[in-house]
Parts: sequence; structure tokens; C-alpha cells
Amino acid sequence: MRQIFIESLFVIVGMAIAIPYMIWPNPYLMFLFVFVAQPCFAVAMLGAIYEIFKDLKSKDVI
Amino acid sequence: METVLVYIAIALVLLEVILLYRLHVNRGSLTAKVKWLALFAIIIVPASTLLFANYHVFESTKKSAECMSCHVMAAIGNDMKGWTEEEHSMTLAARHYRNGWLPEEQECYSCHKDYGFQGTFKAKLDGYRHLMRYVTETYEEPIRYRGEFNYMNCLGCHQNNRSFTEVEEHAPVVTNITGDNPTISCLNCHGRAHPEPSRRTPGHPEFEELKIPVKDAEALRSYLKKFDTELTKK
Repeated sequence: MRQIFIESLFVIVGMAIAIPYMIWPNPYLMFLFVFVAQPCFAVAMLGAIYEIFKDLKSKDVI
Repeated sequence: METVLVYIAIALVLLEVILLYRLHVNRGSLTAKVKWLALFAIIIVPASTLLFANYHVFESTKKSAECMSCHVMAAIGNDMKGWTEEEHSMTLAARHYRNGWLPEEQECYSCHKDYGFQGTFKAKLDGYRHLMRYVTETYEEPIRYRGEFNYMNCLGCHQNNRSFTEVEEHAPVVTNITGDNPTISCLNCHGRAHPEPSRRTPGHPEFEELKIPVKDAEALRSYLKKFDTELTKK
């Protein structure tokens, strides 16, 4: 669950930038979305996928 | 479409808050329910947000207002849109705008389709570079177009237009532009597309007038009228 906690934090940061950008678009929020929010989402999703992979592997599903 | 995106954004953030809260409440046990919650909270909702926000990036950058939201573009936008009817600019972009030849709200995009975020992968990278340079203020005025403008963008509208094909001089130009190694530009005969860089350079008498934010078009017109009167007096 610790891994999920860290990933949740990345998702919160990403959402905190992406949602205001969609509602009030401007160059500064666009910059934050492109260079901060997207990497945060990518790290969170890749981390979660790795966790799922480890879980399935430990249960001999794959 | 923007309103729909706003509702989607609000729905996504509410959903994410609920999912993260449920995940936090159930953090003690790693049951199937918690795993599903994690899947939605960490992968599905963020992936949907990424999808919609990226759609927003590529759709919104088609709009001239979005181009003008970087104040560095104001000089070009003001030249195109803001001049008074009496003393309007004669640049190619301004003439296109004034005569209603450009689609509403997509004036920039209609000629710069293959540029910045709307173009090829390289053009998109260039768009990211522009964004980085603007936000970090690591650019110098006047800004200049680095690449070669693709005159096929002009032909996209003009080539099959009768008023264009009736002019005999256009035939060799089309052959040249559509060839492998084009050497002719539409601007050779039709003048500048935008104000010359010298007018967009800090210190030039017209620089401050051209830099007034485009949004306040009425104020700009009255200001320019006053400015023109002063010039006439001199």
C-alpha cells in the first residue's frame, strides 16, 4: 500500500494542475500541465502497473 | 466544446476525490475491492484526465485567442485585428482578416496549420520549446519564425479559386511552389504577412501601440486614433 500512497500523491499533483488548466487555460498552466502534470501521471501509472505486475506474478497468474 | 470540457474536468476531479478518499479509508486491507479502487484512482481516471487535457491542448491551440494569450504575439494580433478602418494595416494577414477570408476564431491556425502544436512531431516539439521559452522569459523581441513557411498552406485555399487561376502569372508560381525545390514565395508579390521585425522591436515608436493586449480592441482603436491624430499634427 505504500507504493499506492506515493502514486496517489503524484496523481493529486497531476490533477491539481490538469483540472485548473482545462477550466482556465493559459500559458503558465499549460506549461505546468505539459512539463509537471504529465510526468506525474506517467510516474503514477507506471508505478501502479508495476505493482499490478508484481501482484499477479506473486500469485503465479502470469 | 469548452463548456463540455469544463463539466468533464469537474466530474473527473470529483470522481478522483471520492476514489482517493475510499482508497484512504480502506488502506488497511488489500482486498479485491481496494485493488479495483486503486486501478480506477491511479490508472483509469488519471489516464482519462490526460486524454481530455491533451485534447484540450491540441484543440484550444487552434484558436487565435489562445495564440494571443502569450503577450509576445500581441503585436501580430493587433496588426491583424486592431487597426481602425480608416488607417488599417496593409499586411497580408490584416487584409485577409479584414476581408473575412479567414475562419472566425481560427485566423492564425488557418495559415499556420502545420506549425507548433498542430504540426508534425518536430513541429509539436517546437511548440513545446516556444511554451518553455515564453514561460521562462528566455526569448528576445522581435520574435522570428525559425523555419520556412510552407506556401502550400496558401494554395490550400487559393489554388482552385477562380480569381486566382484567372491570373496567368500564378501558373508558374504554382508549378514552382508545388515542385521539389520551391524558390518563389507568395510574399514576393503580395507583401509582408505580418509587421516587419523592426516595428516589433522594443524602442520603435510603434512598438508600445502594437503591444497593447488584443482583448481590449475598442480601447486599442481609440488609442490608435489618438496616436494617428498626433502623428498628423507632427
